[in-house]
Amino acid sequence: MVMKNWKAYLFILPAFALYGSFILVPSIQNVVYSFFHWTTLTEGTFNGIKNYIELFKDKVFGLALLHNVIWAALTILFPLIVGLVLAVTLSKLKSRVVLSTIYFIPATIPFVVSGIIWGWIYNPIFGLLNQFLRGVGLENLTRSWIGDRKIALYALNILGGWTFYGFCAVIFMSSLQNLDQSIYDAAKIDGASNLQTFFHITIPSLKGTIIFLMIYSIIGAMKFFDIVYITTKGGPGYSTEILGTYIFKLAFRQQRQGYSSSVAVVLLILVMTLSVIMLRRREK
Amino acid sequence: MYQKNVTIKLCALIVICIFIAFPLLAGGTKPEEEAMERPAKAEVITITVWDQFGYEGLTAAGPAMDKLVEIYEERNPNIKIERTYVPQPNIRDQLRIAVSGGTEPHMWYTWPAAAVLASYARPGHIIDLTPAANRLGWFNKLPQLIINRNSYKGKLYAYPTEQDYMLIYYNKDIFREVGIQVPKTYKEFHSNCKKLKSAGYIPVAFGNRDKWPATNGLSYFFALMAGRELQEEVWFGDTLWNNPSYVEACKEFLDWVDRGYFPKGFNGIDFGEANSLFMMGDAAMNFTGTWMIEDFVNNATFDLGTFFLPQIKPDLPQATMMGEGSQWSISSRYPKDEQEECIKFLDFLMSEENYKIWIEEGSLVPIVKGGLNWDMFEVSQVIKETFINGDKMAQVNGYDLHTTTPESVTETLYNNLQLMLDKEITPVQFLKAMDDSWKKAKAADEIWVP
Repeated sequence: MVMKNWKAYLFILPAFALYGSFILVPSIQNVVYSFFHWTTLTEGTFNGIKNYIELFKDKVFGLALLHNVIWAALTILFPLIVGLVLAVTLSKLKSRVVLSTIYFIPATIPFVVSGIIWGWIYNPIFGLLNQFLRGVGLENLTRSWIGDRKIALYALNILGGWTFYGFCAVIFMSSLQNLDQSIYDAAKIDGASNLQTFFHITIPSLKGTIIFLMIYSIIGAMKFFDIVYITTKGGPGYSTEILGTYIFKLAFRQQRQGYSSSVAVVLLILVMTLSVIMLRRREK
Repeated sequence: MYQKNVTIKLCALIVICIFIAFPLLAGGTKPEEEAMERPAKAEVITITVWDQFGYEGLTAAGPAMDKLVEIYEERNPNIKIERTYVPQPNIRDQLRIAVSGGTEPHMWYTWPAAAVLASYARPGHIIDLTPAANRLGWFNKLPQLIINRNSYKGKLYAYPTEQDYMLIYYNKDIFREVGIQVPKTYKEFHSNCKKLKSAGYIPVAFGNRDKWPATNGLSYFFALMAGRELQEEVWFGDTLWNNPSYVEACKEFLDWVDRGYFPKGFNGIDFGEANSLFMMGDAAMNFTGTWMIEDFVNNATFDLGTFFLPQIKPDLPQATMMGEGSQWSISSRYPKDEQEECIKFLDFLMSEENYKIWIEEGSLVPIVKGGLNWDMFEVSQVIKETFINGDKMAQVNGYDLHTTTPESVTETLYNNLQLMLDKEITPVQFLKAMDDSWKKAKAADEIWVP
């Protein structure tokens, strides 16, 4: 079989070599390291499943995981809904290409830059948000948006959503364009309202796209790092600590490579399990 | 067909095993085992150097470093200095990865000292500079506290370079407008802040979104309210972090928060934004270190001044937090003659003849025992006065917490101090968290022993 298709294998070899070198092998290495105590500057020593036992006693890990779950839930909820509503609205307009490009712009801005910009917007003294609230007489609503541990995670999630909703809108729009117009015409003849059409035709027709975006959102939410690290570094305290920032700190700030690998393995298992479940549902 | 498939699978398995095993075999090996055999004697020896001397902002000593490299190469035609500027804070991560992979340069300039430096010294990644220090008189040039901070178990492993002090910057124009003077007593300081608040100013610019600025603040309160002696009992003895003097110092820091000296929501303001509040004239004072002095002197559009906080406790002298900005270390991976060339270059860099270049062209004040003779240098009066006054307290100045603690403890310090200032936890809870983390670090042998 291999010899028969050797040309095909030859063509996929460069891509596979890159994938193997930078994704597959490091992932396997990471699993191996998770059974070691290793500070990078010293030789690693095998310590069995001690890292995994510690993981289940680690309160910060639990908190970071919870924050990731909240982040994923909010990401599925808001950017997807906003993106879908926007796509349905825009698809009826002539200027949809221009408008969708405008809405897509935040997705093209690097997360680091978005983090810096929104850090200024959220500044409690001269930030745009508080200035606006003061301007419209809502001074009592002004906050230290990312300095207040009760709301910092949600404030950052809005920022994350801002970078993502345009992407969702564009994907939904491209799927909407492929829908069979005759179904809508038939519904119209049958007297279906816009809302009925939306819930009974558009949403079921977009099931595949919705599941794709949900998987994409969950994976994105689980491996999220940039914005949180740039803006709050997981603070105040641990209130915005997520698995990505925790892994980074363990590996590169605390030099606990072995333990950080065990956290990364848990993250990998979570993301893979969720992806498989969602993909199976999509196939059904 | 079956045999072919098995062969292919076997080959793939071998390739994957080699991939996986390679880093484990290569990583973390003893440097002396890897020390390269010097090839045939080359005419020109290349010394690779990584430093964090940029060209603006923090540690903007790039022009001075460039000039010193040029002078050294002119005087030593057989030496080529290959300099790489690696900005902060990336240099810390990049260096660690390079050392673990055996690709570090001959010498580097980075921070911090104490426990982090010890983590390089312990496995032998950096050379013992004690013989060179004895031979070249370095011990006579440096204050004992700074020598200790760059030593591990009695051996010097780094040459400390930048003198750092915590202090208060102030806007003289605002002080004149409000009718206040530089405080001579702590009571006067409180009275000044009250007047500044009444006049609509933020008394003290401070932002702790980056987490580290508060550790400098707390180091300052520890210096004033616990003293160096007690700090050393905590660092090197069995005294707990949760001791009455530390609790009192934490409460004093919190008192500033309660009295509204800092901008509202300071945990959501970053270091740069806090400095902007001061530079734009919204805040009358700024609570940071000498690492910002050149930037402030060059960019202030108002009459700038500095002062050190007055004595707080009658039984403890006026003091501040003292530290070295960063330090030079030399890799042990290279041949002895190249290590010797690095020592010569380091000695040249920190020689008295070059202080002028560092200060005037690099805005970097070298650490010198007993202080510098400031008449020799053409710099702003504010800079001169600040360092002269800081040097006067050299014998009693305290430690910089986050450049002294091991990195695992630093994480606890950053997060829990932020929570304490946010009133989520009490000073006692914060200090107990520090004790827990300290105990674990001690058990893991991460503690610095000078």
